[in-house]
Amino acid sequence: MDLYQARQPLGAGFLVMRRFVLTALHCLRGLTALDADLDIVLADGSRVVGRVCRQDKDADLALIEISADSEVSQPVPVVGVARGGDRWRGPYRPADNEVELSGRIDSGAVRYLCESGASIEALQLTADQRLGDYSGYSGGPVEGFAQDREPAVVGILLEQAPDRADASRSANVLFAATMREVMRRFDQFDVAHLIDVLRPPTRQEQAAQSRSAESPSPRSQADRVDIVIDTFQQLSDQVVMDPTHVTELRYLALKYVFERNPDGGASWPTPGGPT
Amino acid sequence: MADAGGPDLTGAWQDAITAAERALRGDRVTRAQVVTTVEVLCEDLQLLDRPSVGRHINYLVSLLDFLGLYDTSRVLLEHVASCFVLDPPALNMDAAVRNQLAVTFAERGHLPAAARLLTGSAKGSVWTAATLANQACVMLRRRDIERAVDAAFRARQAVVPAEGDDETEEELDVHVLATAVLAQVARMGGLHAVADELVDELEGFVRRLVRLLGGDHPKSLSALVTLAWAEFESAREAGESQRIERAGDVIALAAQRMSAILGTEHPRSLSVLQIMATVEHETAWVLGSDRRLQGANALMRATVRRADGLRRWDPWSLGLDETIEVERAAVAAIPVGHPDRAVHLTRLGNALQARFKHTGNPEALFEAIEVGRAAVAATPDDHRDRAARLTILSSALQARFKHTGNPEALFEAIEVGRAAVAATPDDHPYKTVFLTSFGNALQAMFARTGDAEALFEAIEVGRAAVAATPDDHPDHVVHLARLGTALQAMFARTGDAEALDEAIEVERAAVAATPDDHPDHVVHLARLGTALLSRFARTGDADALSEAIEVERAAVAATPDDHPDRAARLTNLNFALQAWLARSGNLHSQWERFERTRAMQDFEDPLAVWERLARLAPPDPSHDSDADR
Repeated sequence: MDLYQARQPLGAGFLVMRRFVLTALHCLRGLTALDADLDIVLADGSRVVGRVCRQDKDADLALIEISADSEVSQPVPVVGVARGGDRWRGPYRPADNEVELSGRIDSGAVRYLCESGASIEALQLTADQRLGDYSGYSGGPVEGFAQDREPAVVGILLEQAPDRADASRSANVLFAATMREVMRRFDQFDVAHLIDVLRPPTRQEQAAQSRSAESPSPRSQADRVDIVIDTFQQLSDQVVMDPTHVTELRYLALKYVFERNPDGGASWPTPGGPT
Repeated sequence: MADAGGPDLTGAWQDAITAAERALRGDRVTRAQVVTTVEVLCEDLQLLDRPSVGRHINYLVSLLDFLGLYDTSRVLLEHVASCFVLDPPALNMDAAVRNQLAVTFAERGHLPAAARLLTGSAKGSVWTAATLANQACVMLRRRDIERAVDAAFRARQAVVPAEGDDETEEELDVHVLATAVLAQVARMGGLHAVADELVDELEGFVRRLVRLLGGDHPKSLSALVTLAWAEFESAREAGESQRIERAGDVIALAAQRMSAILGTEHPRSLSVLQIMATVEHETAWVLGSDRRLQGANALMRATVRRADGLRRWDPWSLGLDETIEVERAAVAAIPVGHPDRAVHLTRLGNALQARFKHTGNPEALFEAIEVGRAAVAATPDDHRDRAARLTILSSALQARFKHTGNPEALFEAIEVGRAAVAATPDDHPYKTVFLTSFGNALQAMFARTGDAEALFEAIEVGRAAVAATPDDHPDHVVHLARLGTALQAMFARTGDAEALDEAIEVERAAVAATPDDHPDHVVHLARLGTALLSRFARTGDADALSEAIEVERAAVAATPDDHPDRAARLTNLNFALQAWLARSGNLHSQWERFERTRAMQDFEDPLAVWERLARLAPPDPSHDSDADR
């Protein structure tokens, strides 16, 4: 999706859910003020108003909240995890006369020191296009794709590596924050915060949370590179089933109804069926 | 691999896991090479004979899914499941291993294998609690509500930490799962106050688990989504739209975050996506928003496509016994008056009828009838599926009549079938199905009682079925054949010449509509031949006889020597030819000559005899006329 202020293009963004858009903070340099309204053009061409609600200067990321009175459908989740060796492409182009970027994912996750000084989990990407300057592409989503997999948004383009031999040019190596890193950086996506959103905490709970905040999370693996492998290993020890499966009956009932109305229909389908 | 391995990780296991890890890192191992290592692993007859097999299988399957090797992961799990069947002692494993394997199977939808692993829980407080909680989850998913509740209560009781001890991760896992099961069951049963109290308890367990694991752990996200779902259901029941939307937004964020951690292929990601699709659909419905509904439909399509792409086991496509079991539990769980109740009654009735067909067990049929009656009773008169459910009941009643000869069942089948047809609008896509079932019942009544009224109604129904089916529809010829049979029966019963004329036209149309090489072509020929011979017998119509000979000859020619109907078709041809010869006095001598050649070489081959006769007496009407003169 595209971001504008007063019809002036600012850059690209990624609709995480119906209320939030992610982008690179530097894309918003053109804003007259960080709390100013900006226009968001969604994938279906509709236009809604939003405002920056969080910024992470260290990682050059910003979160835009869409105005509450805008009716936006929940997007189909397309976030995923990159695999080293897969292909990637950047569907966002700064202008119609610019090329679309694509190339190879060199690494599914590496530690990367941003220009701002932050150390983040990032994808190292090789671009096929060799533009020498990739300005304007930042903030756009990185899609990873491979055989037998649906394309998935695996990162947000952030920085380009300089060419060591010619400082006026960039090498064809780019860095993108992984989606896991991006989502970890905003409290809007924090699990404890989301529990509070669901059910405001009691005083007792607030006290427990503050005690917990004093000690680091014992299972955080943010400093590991093989994060996916590590996570799978952790989960392979589990002896208790995923509690989300208790909802399965409702989903199967809906699926059954939906499959009897494959076009989806314009109205709520009537349950029932002879088979 | 640092943690998932161990002293018993050797040989084929080591190769398969190492290959998968290297492929995932892009480290010069192809996916095809990974598949090969897993194939080798599946040849290991001692696959389960190692202490850490549960962990290894779970880990390897996760890696394979992440690599997009869904078929390979499925083959591995199927191999493991087959090991249980072929080698039951293999199930004598540690409770932790059983639970680990059960988790792997359950996450991928293979509930029978998970249930088998959980049967006979092991000793030890934590493992016992975990097994009970897992049993509760599996029972709920299999719609065995009573046992799910029992196991969930026992799981919670089994986790009683000593005073002052901090709760462990496993204890909190058990509490979250068991409490979620109880809250879900309470909500399904309309016990909303109880459900809300359980959601309060669930919140506490989820908060403590998240504090223990941190917010970046997949289990924290699963717990959050479980709480958000419970909150959503509470809000929906209370009619609080803001709470509904808040819960939906939390689930949407969690869905993205889960996929960002585990990838879209992991069962936990898929499960959250399914919840998101469900919640978004129901939210759109509650809010009455068409735009949200369109988005929800897109989300549902994507969810179904993704699940299909991962080639998971579909719990609703499991075996017949499984289906009966789960549908019976669903019916028991859904309150009377709920719109979903009739759906599950219908599914249960269908499964019971299928079991009767497979086993001949009349108890299944009798239950199918009772269930079918209940499904109809639970369906409003103006419901679009009422006709279908009536027809299913009529079908079960017809089966009972065939099985027992009980005329009361047939009477009821006809009444129910008639109601089904009456409830069907002309443009209903299954109208001909309902007409056919009703027509079958009427013909059965005629066959039993000789009641011409039933036959007359069967003909009317048959005509309606033909009229309702386009000429190029594959079922058109089937309806023609049924109508033809009824019309010939009517002629035989009443001597109604118009019925016979119509039967001939219908049978001609059936022959014309069936390709020569279709197995049914010869059947239609034989029926047409019979009808034509009937017309000849009644009217002496020479044209009918000539056509009958031609048709019967084609029928015999198309019937293999060893076909059971060949003798009957030869008899008909014999009859037709004798009749033709009888009418053709100038050929009597040739017939007599044939009679004299009974000792000839080809006597043993009736067809050759008749063909020889045919060469002597070609059924040419003009020739016939000449002979008459």
